[in-house]
Amino acid sequence: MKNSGRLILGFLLVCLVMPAWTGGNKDKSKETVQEPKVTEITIWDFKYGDAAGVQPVMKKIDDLIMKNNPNIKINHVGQANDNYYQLVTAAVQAGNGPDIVMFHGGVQAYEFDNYTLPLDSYISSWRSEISEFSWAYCSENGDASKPVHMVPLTTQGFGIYYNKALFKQAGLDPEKAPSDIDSFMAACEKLKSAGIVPITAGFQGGPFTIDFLFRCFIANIYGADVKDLGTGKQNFAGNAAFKKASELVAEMFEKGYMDPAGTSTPYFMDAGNNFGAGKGAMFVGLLSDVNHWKSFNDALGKDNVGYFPTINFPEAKYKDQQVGQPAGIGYSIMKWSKNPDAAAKVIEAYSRGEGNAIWMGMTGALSPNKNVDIKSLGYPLVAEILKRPFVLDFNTLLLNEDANSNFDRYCAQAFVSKEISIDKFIESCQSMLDRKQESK
Amino acid sequence: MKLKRLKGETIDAYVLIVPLLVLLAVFILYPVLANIYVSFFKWKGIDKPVFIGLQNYKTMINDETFWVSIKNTLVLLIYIPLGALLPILLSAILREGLKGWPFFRAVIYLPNILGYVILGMIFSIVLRKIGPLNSLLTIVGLGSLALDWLSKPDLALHALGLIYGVWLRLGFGCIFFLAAMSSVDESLYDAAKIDGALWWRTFVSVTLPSIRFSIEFWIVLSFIEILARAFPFIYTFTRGGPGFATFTLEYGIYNSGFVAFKLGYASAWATVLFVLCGIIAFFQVKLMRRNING
Repeated sequence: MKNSGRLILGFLLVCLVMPAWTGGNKDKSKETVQEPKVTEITIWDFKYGDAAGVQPVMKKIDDLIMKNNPNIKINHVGQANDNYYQLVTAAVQAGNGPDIVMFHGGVQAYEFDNYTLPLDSYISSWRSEISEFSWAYCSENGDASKPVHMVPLTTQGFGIYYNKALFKQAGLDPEKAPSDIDSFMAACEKLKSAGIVPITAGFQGGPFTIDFLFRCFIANIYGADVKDLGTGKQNFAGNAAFKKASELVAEMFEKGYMDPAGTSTPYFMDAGNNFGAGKGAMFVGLLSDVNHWKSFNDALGKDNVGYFPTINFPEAKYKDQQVGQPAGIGYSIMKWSKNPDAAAKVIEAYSRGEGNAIWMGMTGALSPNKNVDIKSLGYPLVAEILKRPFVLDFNTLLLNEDANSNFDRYCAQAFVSKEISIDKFIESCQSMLDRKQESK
Repeated sequence: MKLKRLKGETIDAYVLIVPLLVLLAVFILYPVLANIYVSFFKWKGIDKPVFIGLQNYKTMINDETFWVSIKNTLVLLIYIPLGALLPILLSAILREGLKGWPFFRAVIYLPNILGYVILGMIFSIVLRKIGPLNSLLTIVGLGSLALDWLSKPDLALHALGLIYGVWLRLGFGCIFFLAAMSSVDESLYDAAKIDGALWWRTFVSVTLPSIRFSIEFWIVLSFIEILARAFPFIYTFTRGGPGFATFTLEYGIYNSGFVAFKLGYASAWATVLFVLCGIIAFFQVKLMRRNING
């Protein structure tokens, strides 16, 4: 018994000593063969969760970056879209989190300026590849004189796509997009008479078809002066053209030009899919990310999709004005990152060169990088869209809650449920501008 | 000696309740006090909070959305009586030993198995203009009742009241009231039968008075459910829309706090909700005491 006890004790001692001995050997081997130090860079974004669409593209770019930089390992984390900024806020409160964070351009990124690194020194060698219009938008609080805090991955915009085959079916000239409100309304009437839904729409959960149409109209009405909606020099109240635009949207509903099933259809992604499936003739869509030129070209055929940036009407001065956001989404480096140099390499690889070409080519997102060869994508429509100069989307000038919630609620009240008058709608829209001024 | 023993017992009692008191202080008292404290600050959730006194409350009183949310919440409260009456009636019927009632009980209880988020999503699909409910109504010849439930403000709010305030709570209500009815003295029913009382008279004169305490408790519970627990259902059902049609006080707290990132302002809204719940809790305690005292 005594002997067996000694035996067990001895065995335990050997077990304790062995790992230390072998570990010691390992340490010695490390001294002789120097392995490269691998830096792990963690990225949070709200796009990576799209397992079928965006994730494979980002994985491909991540692999490319890791191949070109063997000392960098990317840990890409897809976060939920719905509560993304709550998660980022929680990380900021904890003072710890990912090295790189994806932001929407504009006010949502500016909220975190104090916690993201100024990137000027990292982008200086390739700054010229992206327009200063975009860099200004990505600078601290949107002020061009201040440091850049975000590298833009996309530009965004809004416009109207149309299905040429359905135009032809209704007896319209498929090569001729409606050039003004009269021809637009006449086209809607002809399409409706032919049993075709004139405007494929999505209002459930948020009336984005109306929201995006207003963004087009507002660019038409204010042109480059749209920025003054954020300074108080321009207003919605008392503007005859804005009132006319509101009345035109109401008329589209009254005449049944908006898809009657729109109230049962979420804009993302059902309404877009409906247009792609040929269930309607026109669609107020996006230029980047989703519901865009690439998805519609792929679904309906490259020769079958037409585009016009807005609906011209006499009260609006800026004919055919294209609306856009200089940065739809982008990446920032958090101040707590222990490896900002490696993180900067990662976001640079996403925004330029081969990585950026993969991003744009596979997702249809529009890149703000001027060096991307648009023609090589093989979609003539995108070149046609990009030939027009953009003016700023008014929505980017609003406070967060107005840009992301209230404007859509006002649109729903005025046009979908019709519980408020056009005058009350204009008053509500003006209140968003007033709140912006008060916040200053 | 006796005093010493009493003191010892008191200390023992305190020792036993200390863990619970600590939990209450950490998870209930502190958040409530912190919320009231934060309501006097301008705070985005990041950066340093700035003390602004009563400004958040002033802004709230002048905020049209706040009053819309109060109105919507009050409209939902109207459904509380129906939400109590229906499960009581059903329980009374089931108690009589309806043939196959265990099956009906299971069917009625089924919604409670699913969470509010799932149910909200299901109903947002069911009530679409081109959705299952309207298709069914059309098939059975009631096409005139096939309405655009979720894009008309009044319809959406009342649909919310009926589904969340009544239907959703029917299953648990039945189980709750069946349990309450099972404790009613059977001799009362026998006496009513001998006196020749019909079903309705027995229900009104025997069942209802016998379960009065349970009904009062249920109503208080319903107030809390509508005031402070409806958010997950509304979020997936209508997102507070169309417009602000189903935008409740609770939804406003979420919107101010996590869409606008005005945490101080959201705290002011939450303080109002706390006060409302506090008033209801006060009456609940009063009612319970009245019942205990006889």
